[in-house]
Amino acid sequence: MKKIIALLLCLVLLAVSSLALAESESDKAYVTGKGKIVVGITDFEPMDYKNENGEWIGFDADLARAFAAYLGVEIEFQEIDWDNKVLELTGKNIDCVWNGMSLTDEVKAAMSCSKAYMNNAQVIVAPVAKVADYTTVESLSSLVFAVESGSSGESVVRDLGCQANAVQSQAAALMEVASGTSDAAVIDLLMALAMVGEGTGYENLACGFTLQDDQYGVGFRPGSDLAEELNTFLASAAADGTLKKIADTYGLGLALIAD
Amino acid sequence: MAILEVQNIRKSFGSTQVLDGISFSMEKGDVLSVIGSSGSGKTTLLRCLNFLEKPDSGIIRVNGETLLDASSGASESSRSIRLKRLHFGLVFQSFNLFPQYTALQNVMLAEKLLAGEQPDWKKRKAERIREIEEHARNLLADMGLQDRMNNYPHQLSGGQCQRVAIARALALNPDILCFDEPTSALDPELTGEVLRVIRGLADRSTTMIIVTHEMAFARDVASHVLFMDNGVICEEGTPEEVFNHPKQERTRQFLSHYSD
Amino acid sequence: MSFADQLPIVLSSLNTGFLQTFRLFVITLAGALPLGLLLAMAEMSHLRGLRAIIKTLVWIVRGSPLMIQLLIIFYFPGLVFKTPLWSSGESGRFAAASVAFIINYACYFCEIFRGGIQGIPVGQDEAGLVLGMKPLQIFFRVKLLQVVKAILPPMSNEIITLIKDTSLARIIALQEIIWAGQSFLKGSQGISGAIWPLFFTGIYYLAATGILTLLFSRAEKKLSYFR
Repeated sequence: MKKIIALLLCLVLLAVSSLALAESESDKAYVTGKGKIVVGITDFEPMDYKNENGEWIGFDADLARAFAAYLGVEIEFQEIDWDNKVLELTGKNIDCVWNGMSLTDEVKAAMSCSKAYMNNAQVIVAPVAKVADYTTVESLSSLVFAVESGSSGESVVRDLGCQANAVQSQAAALMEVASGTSDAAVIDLLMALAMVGEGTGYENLACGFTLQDDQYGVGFRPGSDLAEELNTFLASAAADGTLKKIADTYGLGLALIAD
Repeated sequence: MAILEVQNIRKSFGSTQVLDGISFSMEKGDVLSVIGSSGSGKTTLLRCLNFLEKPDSGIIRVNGETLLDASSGASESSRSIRLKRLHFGLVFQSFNLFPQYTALQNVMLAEKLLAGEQPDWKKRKAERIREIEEHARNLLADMGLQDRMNNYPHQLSGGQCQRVAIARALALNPDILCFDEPTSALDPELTGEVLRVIRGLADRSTTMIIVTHEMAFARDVASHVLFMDNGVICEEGTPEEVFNHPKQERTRQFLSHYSD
Repeated sequence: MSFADQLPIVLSSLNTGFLQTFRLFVITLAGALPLGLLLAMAEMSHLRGLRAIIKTLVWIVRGSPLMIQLLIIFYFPGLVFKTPLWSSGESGRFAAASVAFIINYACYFCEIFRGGIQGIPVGQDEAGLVLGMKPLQIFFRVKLLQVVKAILPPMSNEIITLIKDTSLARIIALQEIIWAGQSFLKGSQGISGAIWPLFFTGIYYLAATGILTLLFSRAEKKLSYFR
């Protein structure tokens, strides 16, 4: 028994010490060395989603492809469980998280982030029949919200002092509202615009007012030099119009951060 | 020459001395009844003869060949123990038939496996299997089970099961056939058929050691009787001597429980 | 998009997901059954040290959630040693999930095997021994079928649980059938906010467990000729 405990302690120590050790090799050298960048994504229209041929498209997917070409490496998209994005990144199963990720304090603490490239907001989604009742922050106080666990929507709701059901994804949050198990949801504006309202799967839901503005960025491993590399690339892509062109393809031209 | 010679067998489990120096011998065709109260060491003696227990000391000889000399300390290969076992057959109190095999298959299995170890097995396989089946059928018919050969154990009565077990033990032609309380697990009305079968074997001069609580049967079938008490042979002799003129007080005491 | 338009897209996606579920199920069985038997043999050996090791392993594996084991097996190599052990892409995730499931289920099977083998009366061994049979002959010719008969009910339980447990592999983003069903909630292949595909996956599980139940009851019936 003692031996087992000793062994477990050794493992934990090993894990902690090796995490604490600074990477000797630069992350850019690591990625170019293996000749491939693995991009962690979820199926999230209009940022990353599959076309009829099963290829990943969307604003983020196209931009990531351009960045891979800029680095001179191949690209591989890997669908991940959003809750495990930090694990996937530090475990080197993926090289970046590039999936309409709001740059919250938590995200910035856990990853090396690029500068923001797109505007987003946290928006209320409620049943069509009720959405008109929710016009002020005060009108929300008695509601139970569905939010994605670990999302900026969740921190917004907690800051409001409202009750929050944290679920697995933003889509699951919408299902909570549709099935009546929560009164309303708080999710990304860009996602809400694509997923609720007429012609979507959630015709009985509608967007209310926005609670907080936030911005999308790309996350790399802590201390990675790729974040700076991406910033350089984004600046040149903005300058030569590439960024605008991709954004317009997906109807996101207005959301793009100009500078 | 004695077919079986047992010298000074001792066996203890932990601090309990179960056999404390057992010696006896038998001639071919002898039927030895072993009687005694529960815990006197009768069953352990049979298990030692069949190598299911290893005695702490003592010698076992069959036909002059020393099968076991526990004091020699030499460790034996499992193969040599396996072949030495074949000098003995053992019929268990609880039959221990193989439930997934028919009566016939139960009797054939061991002989078939042994034949499989012979060098000529591949060449003569079909012929050997025919012989073995013929042998098994004859044995079962001897036991009065000609209609039951293809029944599974759970379809047979206790008495029929025990007769299959006897046929199975006879299939390998052991020099000495041992019975460990063969009727103790049977309803009283079923013991008769099993005892009749054993009686028949005695009439054909089968060498047997029978551990039993059936005193009338022990007396009737035996050529020789051992009375065991507390791990030693308390008294031995012909049935007439042991049952009618016991010399030891302990023997008289034991037999008095069966007097009625 | 109408339901009729959605159906073929969803079904093809669910079929792909179920294929992954089924592959994980088959590979787990193929690995865990023999490994479980080996572990059971080791657990019944005369070597005390070996027995203690196996008992500890079984305690750890059965005593902690399979979900944690999946996370450890997939993420630990990269986190601790800075080099991911598993190849990138779906194949690496599948390999990691297979290893986790095989080890986990082998430990459950081990206990079932051990119970089954030890439940055979010692008289069966002794009857074989006095008939001059070798230990391996006794195991294979006398005891094995009795063991199989005895462990069929707990085995069928465990194996039916396995096919449903495969859905846990989605924690390391293995794209099995539940993942496939859920993707239409978030939006995938032009279908978003569709709830029914997730619930429809239940049909696949019901069909699979239905077939397994039939197979097991047939096997039990086949072995009912003896007791």
